[in-house]
Amino acid sequence: MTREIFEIIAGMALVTALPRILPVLFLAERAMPPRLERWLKLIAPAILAALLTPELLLDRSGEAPRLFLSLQNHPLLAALPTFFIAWRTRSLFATVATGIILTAALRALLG
Amino acid sequence: MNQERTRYKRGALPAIARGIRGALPIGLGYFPIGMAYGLLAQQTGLSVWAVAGFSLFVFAGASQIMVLPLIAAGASIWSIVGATFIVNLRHLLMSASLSPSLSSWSRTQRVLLAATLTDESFGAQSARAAEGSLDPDEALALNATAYIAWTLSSVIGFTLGLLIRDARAWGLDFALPAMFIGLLTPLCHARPALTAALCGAGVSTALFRAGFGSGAVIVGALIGATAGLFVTELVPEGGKSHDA
Repeated sequence: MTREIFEIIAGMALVTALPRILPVLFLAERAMPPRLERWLKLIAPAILAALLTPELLLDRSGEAPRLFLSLQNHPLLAALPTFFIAWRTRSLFATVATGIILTAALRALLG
Repeated sequence: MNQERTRYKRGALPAIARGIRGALPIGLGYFPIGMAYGLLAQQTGLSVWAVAGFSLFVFAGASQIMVLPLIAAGASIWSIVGATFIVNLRHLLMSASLSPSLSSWSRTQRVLLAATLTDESFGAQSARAAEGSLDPDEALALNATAYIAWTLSSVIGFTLGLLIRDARAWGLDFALPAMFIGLLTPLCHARPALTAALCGAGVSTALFRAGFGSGAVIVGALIGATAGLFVTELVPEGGKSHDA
């Protein structure tokens, strides 16, 4: 386990550091085609939504993922007010705190 | 060059103080997420050294939390590192977008800034860059403070994990989705970004449902961004500012 974890950390560190560092070394003074730049900017909302939605809509505890639209899906219920808080406050702290508290409250109330 | 250096030294302390102040809201935002990460990692069976190691050497919260179930399920190192690469590839875009503001920085300073780039610090740095110049001392102090807050909160979370039996009862499994919501929502102010997000969400969920695994995220992101670009090209320039 220990050796494996060390290898995982090393591998993850490498593949995380390269995309962070390479652009500032090789791209510093070069201008990008505007269409490419616009496309790159749209990657951020697309990737965040692509990461988020399966977490909310799918139950991945079983063998195959299945749609999980039910009152038992507490994260999905908590997500709606959390979106509202994010939209109104634009504060990451307030958003995360609201989401965690709501999820805990829903679990306590609805079981 | 010499003159540059003297000037830069004299202004260093106030700039560092500004950087630390700028990092406070970010550090505050990291604490619940970092603690949730440390706690979930503890319950996955990682040691405190592994928990701190991930935070110190990877320093990318979403991927650190995302790989925990993969580690627990005994996934191969290739699938874990591959999923991390896909999820963290977005830093390439942020780093590229900050690059023009760093043209007067030394190579070492640039690498230090880029190596500690996160979604949140990128937000702060690009706001600063839009105001005018990016001061190396201030920017690096901001990133360093956020880095310390992240590592510290993950170790505190690990310690809490020894006390709390069930992270789910405390809603801590929602920390990551909540962070995504917090980062995503302010980005969706215009129609192209909203289109990109909705398409990314739909494609990724459908592919996950079909059993594609973590590749679903990158395919969803690429299709989503392309759909958003179509909307940018189709909607006349003047229409952009009207979108809410």
